[in-house]
Amino acid sequence: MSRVVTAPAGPLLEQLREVAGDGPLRELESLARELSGHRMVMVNSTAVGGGVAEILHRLVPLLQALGVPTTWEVMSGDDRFYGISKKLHNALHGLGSAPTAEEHDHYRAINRRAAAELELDADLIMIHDPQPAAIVETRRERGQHWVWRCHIDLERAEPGALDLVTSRAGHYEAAIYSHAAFMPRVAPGFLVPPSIDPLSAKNAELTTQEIDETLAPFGLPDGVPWVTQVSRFDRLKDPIGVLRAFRLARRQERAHLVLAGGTADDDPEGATVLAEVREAAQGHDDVSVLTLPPDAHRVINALQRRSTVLVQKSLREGFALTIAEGLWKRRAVVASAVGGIPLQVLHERTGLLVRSPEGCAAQIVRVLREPGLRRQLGIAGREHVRRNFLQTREARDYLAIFLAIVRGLRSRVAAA
Amino acid sequence: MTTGREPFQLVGVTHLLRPWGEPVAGLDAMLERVGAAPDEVLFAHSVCRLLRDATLQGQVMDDLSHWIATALQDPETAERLWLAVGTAFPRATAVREAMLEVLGSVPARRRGAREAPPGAEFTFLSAVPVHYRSGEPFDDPRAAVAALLEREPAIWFHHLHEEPWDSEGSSTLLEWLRLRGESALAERLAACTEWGLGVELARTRFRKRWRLSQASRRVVSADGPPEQRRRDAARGAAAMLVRRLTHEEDTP
Repeated sequence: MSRVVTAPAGPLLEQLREVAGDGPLRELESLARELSGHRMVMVNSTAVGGGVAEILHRLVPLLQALGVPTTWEVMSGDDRFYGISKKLHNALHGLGSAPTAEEHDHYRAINRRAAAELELDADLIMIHDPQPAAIVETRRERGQHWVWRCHIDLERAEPGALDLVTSRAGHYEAAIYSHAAFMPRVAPGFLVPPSIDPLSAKNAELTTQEIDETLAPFGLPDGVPWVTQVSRFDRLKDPIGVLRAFRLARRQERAHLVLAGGTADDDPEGATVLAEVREAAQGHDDVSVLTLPPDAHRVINALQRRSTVLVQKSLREGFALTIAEGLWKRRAVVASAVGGIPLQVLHERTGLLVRSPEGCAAQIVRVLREPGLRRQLGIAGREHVRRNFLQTREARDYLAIFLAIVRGLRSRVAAA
Repeated sequence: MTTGREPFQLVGVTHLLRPWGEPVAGLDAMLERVGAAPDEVLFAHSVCRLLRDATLQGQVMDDLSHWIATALQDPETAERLWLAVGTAFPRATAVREAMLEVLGSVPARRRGAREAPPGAEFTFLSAVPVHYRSGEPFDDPRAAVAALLEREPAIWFHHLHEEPWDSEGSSTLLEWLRLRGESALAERLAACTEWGLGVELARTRFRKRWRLSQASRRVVSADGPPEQRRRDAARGAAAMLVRRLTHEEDTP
């Protein structure tokens, strides 16, 4: 068990004000003033690796800089606990079975130990994901407000695993999910879409020289516009559909297709899909398939900035943060109207929505031929992300949720 | 209820979203859900977009019309609904009636003919407002309006869109301005909400008009001092008008 010391906030607020604008920062400062006198603790199960740790490393310093005393506690467990947590995590994603009753007992025992050891010396407590979710059962004190932040897509959760998680939802005053589709009917809550960090390696500004140097090792062609999809190799991201759309577009316009992504460790199908994509791309000089390690943030940044069109032709989608990343970089985006994509791509305003490989091809051609359209979409897209999908908005939502709860609101509502 | 004597506190708002009911895949289900949806659900999908898409050029399309145009690929119904919702602002009853009228007028066979593909269903959301005070209260009406134009757009949205929606068209800010003898300013602000524009764009347009009127006031108020000073002030104001007319763009 440990308290994580995050990087000092330093000029963070001013840096964010520069990129996000004065309005979002003023909102944050006003909300933080309303929470004056309150303290916050974030709790999760790892300080490094994984999306949640990444979020907390930027969120905690931001909250501190805003004047809301915030600390970050990490629970620890034994090997058996981590094995059970992994099993639960997979089952919540619809893979494998839920932990057995005996395993659940061990999970609860470790949570009880964490409850005794963690410094939960605050009145506003946010528990991230299922690993520490049972701490609330033994540690909740009078005057404390507990919120559960679920970062996982529960849409295909194994019923037993879902029951383990949702059975303790009643201990919390609110649950928070990233997308409506992720939210179980038995434990409704608030929606807080994910966000991007404009100062991170994946999104920070790069000079043309930096872009060229970063991409040089990949030997991608110069002098031809790139059409790029950045996504893991997964059937639901439809990389074969992208290839088909690109072949149709190539009958009318010269371009190079880049399919870039990694295979998720928890996705056994990834290697198979990658092999299928490579086979389909074989013999086509105008297609590059890049497999990238999980920490290739700067490469992705450079790829997105260098591309003329970014495609996200998913068949199903959670939120698709790659869209927000592309829009933030003022890129023209062509994407399917599924999941969280239409929240980001407002058709003909911030990007172009499509429903078929043919539609995708037609819009790719259109964007390649119309620099004015690209510029217009790029400007509107960046502004849309600045207002709705930067980390300042996510921090604002958390502050607002705690403020609402402190004022007496509960998030649990009967489904209509 | 304000008496006009007390200083005015500008208030901002942020909205927490939560799903309401089951997602819908077609117009039949949408028609049924619109009839049953609480006012805050209609608010989330019609008015909130003015804040969410605050800087988009042109009239902002409501969420339902956007979904019908993109996921259902039915541009005709989307356009009709967009216009009807835009015209019905800013009352919940009027918005609901407009939606029901347009969706109900689509022939039953056509309503049932189109379905959104899996994953593209429409999820109704309910908006829970969380209000906060922005800075210190104002005693000077014009300073309050200047802050309304300068600070975050959520303040403009709360006083000029959300309050009228919740209170049958009235706004504490506009009421206070009238009681402080600034009725014309209040009317000009109220008129902005009829434009159906994103908040940031509406603010920019109002800011430009307000500055011009401020410059005109300066010319009028310069009447009285010695002739030379009056001429200098008038020249200065005219030069400022020309600069703004020639250099300002209609963007935030």
